[in-house]
Amino acid sequence: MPTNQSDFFLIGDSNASVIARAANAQGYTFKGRAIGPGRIFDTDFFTVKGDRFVMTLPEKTNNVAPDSFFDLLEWKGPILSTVGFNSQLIGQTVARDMRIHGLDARNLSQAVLEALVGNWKAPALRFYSLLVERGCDIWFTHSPQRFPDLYFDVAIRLENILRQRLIDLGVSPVDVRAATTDSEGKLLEQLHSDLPRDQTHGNIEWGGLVFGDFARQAGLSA
Amino acid sequence: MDFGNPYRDMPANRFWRSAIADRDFLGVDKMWTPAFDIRPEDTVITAGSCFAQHIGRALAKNGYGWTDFEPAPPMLPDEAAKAFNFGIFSFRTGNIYTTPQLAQWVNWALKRADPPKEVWEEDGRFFDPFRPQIEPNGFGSADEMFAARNNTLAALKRAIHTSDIFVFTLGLTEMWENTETGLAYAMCPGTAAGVFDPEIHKFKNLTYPEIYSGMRDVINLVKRVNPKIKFLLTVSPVPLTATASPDHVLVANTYSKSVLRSVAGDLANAYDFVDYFPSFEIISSVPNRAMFYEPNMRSVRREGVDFVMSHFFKGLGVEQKEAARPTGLTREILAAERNEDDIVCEEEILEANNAN
Repeated sequence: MPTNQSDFFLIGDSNASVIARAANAQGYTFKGRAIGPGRIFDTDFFTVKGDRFVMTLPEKTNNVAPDSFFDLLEWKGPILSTVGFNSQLIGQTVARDMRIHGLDARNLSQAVLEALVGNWKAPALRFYSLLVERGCDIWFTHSPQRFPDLYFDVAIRLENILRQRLIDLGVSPVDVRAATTDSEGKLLEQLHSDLPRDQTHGNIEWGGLVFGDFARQAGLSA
Repeated sequence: MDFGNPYRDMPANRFWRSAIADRDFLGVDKMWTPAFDIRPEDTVITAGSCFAQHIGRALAKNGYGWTDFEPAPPMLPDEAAKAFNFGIFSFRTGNIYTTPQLAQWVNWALKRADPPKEVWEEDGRFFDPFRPQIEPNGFGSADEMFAARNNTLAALKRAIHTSDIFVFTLGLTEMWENTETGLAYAMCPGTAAGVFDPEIHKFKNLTYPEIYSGMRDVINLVKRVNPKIKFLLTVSPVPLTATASPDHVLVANTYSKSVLRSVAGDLANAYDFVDYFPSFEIISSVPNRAMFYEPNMRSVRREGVDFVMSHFFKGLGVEQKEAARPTGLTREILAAERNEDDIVCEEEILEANNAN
């Protein structure tokens, strides 16, 4: 039986690892973990066996222990997820593919992008749907909004489409973008990852802002 | 004295009896001798009326370089890609039924004319008057519509500059134009989208001289930009869905096909880099007793398309493949696996107006 000794459940990509570190730094504990590369959530990445949530791609998940998420569906506390918000990958893939053909991804219509998200993010959407159906207290949060100019626009649009799909499903947003981005919507420089050559992630301060908003909305107390 | 005459040494395919009357039509051959070779490594583009889609697909399926210059973005599912008119032709122009339409697209792409700013708005959605069905529910804004068109123009420009073979299927003589701008619409306003205004929107049934000169000008313009390109013209064997002329639709259809066929033939005779492929004759001529049409005597049966393409590949002297994968920049799944009977024919929406 699951216990609520931890404060929340965490599942997500590499962005979740920054949030995890920030949560730990603030004295919170959590179950689950950040898995690593977000692309695994773009394929069928889970199955349900009884009440167990089983990751089906352990070999691609930084050696995630098979039982890391077994009791996700029975977890009674809040769940924070970054699943599906590997927007740098989808934005980059679309923009680069189109540029190869001399085309500008920014010219794609909203309807095309919505169809694209519906297909590309189908595994992620199934994940959130499952948790909503099971009555889980599930929250999602955005990527740090840190993309090169080549695909900034399309990545943001794609991410906002996914955001709306999740809100429509009944998933609650943790959205700190107003406090963490500049007038163009780009992650503030002081919140960039400290790691050399990291062009994508936020730093622990960003993670702290995300987690702080989540904790406040979810009513967590350290 | 016997001076002979030119008919004496002619081959069997020049005489009706030996070419047609004494043969099963399915065994008729040598209907097309290509004016130039089309090689698998050639970049081939297709545009025109709906029948051009068959040629593009057959080329891709048989390992020829049919090229989609405006492919769907990655991960867009096939069904959605088709709904948004990706992969139908070599660029998202939609059906180009008339030569003025073709001329407009080419001139816009080559920046010889500014793309028009006309927009059709309906219930908060925005439609491109020059390809009103390109997105199933129109665009979210006029700016979005123009931006999407920019990609199409970029794709068309690149296609014109780099292709080896331009396959164009002439579809209609009848068109609707805006008398204020002089531009040709893809569809009559008020049918697929837009509002019909009898003061502005005028019907025009193009004549032979207009179509010939229009097509010739397009060919010469494209040829100036890309001297290596060659043109393969076909005429759609699909009869008119409806006519806006005062004639019976059968009479109007005969006018349309006759003129288009004549233009295509004359252009092929005039230029060694222009050829005519007789898909029209193969499908619609009397000897086949309409066996390639569906019961509505309009839609072309899959067997008819296959028969046309078998002549096409025989003409090229190649063994037709059944399930070869496409090459080049094609979106292979789309081209090879899509239901081949399922083509996009915007003109068919006119039947929805038939109250009889």
